[in-house]
Amino acid sequence: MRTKTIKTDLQSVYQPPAPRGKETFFEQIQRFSTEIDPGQITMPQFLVIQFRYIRPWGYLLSVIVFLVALLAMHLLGREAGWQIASLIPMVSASMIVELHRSVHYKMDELEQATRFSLKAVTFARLCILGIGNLILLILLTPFIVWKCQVSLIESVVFLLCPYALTAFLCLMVIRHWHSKENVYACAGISVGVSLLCIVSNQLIQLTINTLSGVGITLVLLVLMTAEYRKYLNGMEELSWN
Amino acid sequence: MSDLEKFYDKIYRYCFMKLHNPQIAEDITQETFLHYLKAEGKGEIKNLESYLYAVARNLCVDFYRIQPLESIANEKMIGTDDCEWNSTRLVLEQAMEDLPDDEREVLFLRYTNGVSVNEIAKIIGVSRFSVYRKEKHALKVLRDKLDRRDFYED
Repeated sequence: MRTKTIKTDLQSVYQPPAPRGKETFFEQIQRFSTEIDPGQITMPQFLVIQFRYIRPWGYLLSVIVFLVALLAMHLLGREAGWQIASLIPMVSASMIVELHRSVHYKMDELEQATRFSLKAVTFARLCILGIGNLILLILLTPFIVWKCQVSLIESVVFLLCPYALTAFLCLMVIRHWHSKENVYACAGISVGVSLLCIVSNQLIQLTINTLSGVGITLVLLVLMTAEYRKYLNGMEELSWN
Repeated sequence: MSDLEKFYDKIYRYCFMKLHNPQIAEDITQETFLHYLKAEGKGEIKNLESYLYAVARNLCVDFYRIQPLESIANEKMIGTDDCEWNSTRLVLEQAMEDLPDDEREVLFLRYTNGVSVNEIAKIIGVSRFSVYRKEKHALKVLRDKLDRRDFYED
């Protein structure tokens, strides 16, 4: 009986005063848990946030290129292939310039101190712009096949060859020449590649030999991918430094 | 969140038993919950109750490693002046204070906070048999002490 009484009385020992900060503490927890936590943000949310940071003229340029390409096909008919190809370097160069915007405006150091690494941010923007460009190229392809009377592979060569060449050259310049003026160099490269495309129409009949066209395009795509990789890895080096 | 709120008072009381200072006990309680919130997403927590007690226990040990228990206990009287201490509670607490730490902890968890023997075994890291043994021994010591003071009449 005594033991039972002790057990009952033990329920009342060590009775502290009422906690003072309980409600405030749980309110704070509730508030923090509803805010966006960088560790818990999903990839689609991250991409949507980055989508808003890309300047609208990049998308506008793609629309203009698409409309001009349609106009060129309407006016030039079968001869429009290389003319359309000469428009593509502008799209490619604008993408590189947009990616390089942080460095161009000397915001890269600041962005490295933010919640996400500069590499992750640039990669997200690269994905968004890359998808945008891919949509443009996919939309143009059937029109080229239809209006220019070429095969699907040839139309892909028309579009990807100047695209990959411009991206490769622009990235090479940006990686090796650390100056604010490298944006103008990119513009120059895109003009150069565009001119090359127009000249190709008269001098090199690349589409005669489809196999060589595909080969060149593949090589340029590999070079472009390697340059993008080096560019992104360079940002990792910056963050480590 | 309601699950956490349910355990807040119990963990607070447990910390108070260990540290004898309401303010420090509440700080440690909140730190315990912050530990839990950090670990929540990692999937390491199988039982919320025993996890909270184990973290609180470790934090209390860490705390009185830095600050001697005597210096905290002196503050106890300042912090609890306004409480109504009835004689039964006081005598029982005094008797419990004389028990070894692990036995006092077992009695507190078992009868004051109503934790099961299984959970106590997990919290203090001993077997169930050991918990039973400590509980039985602590109750016997407590009863003998109170008998000597003629506290409980037959």
